[in-house]
Amino acid sequence: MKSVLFVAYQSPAGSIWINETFRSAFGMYGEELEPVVLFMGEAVLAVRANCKPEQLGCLPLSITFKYIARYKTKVVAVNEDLERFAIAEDGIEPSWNVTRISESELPDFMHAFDKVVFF
Amino acid sequence: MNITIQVNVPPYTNEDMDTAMHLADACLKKGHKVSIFLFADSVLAANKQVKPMRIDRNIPVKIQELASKGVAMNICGLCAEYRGLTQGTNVDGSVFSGVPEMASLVFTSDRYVSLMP
Amino acid sequence: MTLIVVKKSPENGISNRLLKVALPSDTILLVQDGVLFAMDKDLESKVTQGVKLVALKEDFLARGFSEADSSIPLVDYNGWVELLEQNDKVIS
Repeated sequence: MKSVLFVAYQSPAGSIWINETFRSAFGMYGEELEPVVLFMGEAVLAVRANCKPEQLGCLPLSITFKYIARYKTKVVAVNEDLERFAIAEDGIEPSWNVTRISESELPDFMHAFDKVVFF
Repeated sequence: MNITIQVNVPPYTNEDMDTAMHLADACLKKGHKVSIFLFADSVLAANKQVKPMRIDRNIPVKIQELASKGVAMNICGLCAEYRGLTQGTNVDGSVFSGVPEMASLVFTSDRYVSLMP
Repeated sequence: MTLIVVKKSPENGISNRLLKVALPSDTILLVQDGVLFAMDKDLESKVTQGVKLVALKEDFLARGFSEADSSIPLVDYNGWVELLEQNDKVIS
């Protein structure tokens, strides 16, 4: 089993990268690969329960939820970014089942994967 | 070594496709096996109907040249159809694939370089 | 031994955060607008000690600089391939 980290760092509203990151991640299960998705920077906005790109006419983030549940894909968000954008624990959409990580843990965290791909 | 280069952004707006092609060429010259994976808007680079100005580079032609030198040119088929690029409008030597092939490249590549969007 | 490729400008927040991801014995390769970091005479103090910094020559020169303007070594595309050979992982 090899591990791959997909990192999304751009805003979920008006950019496609959160959806594309997850589409890629779900595709990894066809191989002996264990994907993890990391949100950093503006991408953490995605975890807000009220974050709805469909209000702009864009693709909803919620289409990823049933696959996250099916594959139990691990989703990680950087604590400092959640704080920067004032995202409180009770404002987070539970379907992401998000784990927090602090910025200082990122170097060791990223180096633990066989592949790291930014989107 | 097996080296894969993933491109994500449109060709004539960004430097990424050029970066990918130069790197692929340098990898080939050193005897490596190279794949390029075109994802999201970067699939437009494989449209053989593009008409750039004559002083500009013709990216699809360059892709075709790389493919003829042995670079495996993979296009995300779903991304392509999303953007109106159908089988047959892509340059010779490029193949419609998808996320399963991406998974296979992630699994088998010794080095995976993604040009982040 | 990991190769970290930084392609966005120093003005983009993600670039500075990628610099901080590097551990000793890693190499950071600056490409595209990432090469603008090479103007910074203080760049080495912004990464962990023991991290190697290099910039892609083609991208640096194409932005109007000369080799002497770079505070870190420049490599060409061949050098990029050598970095891929020497490092067993890539973060990009």
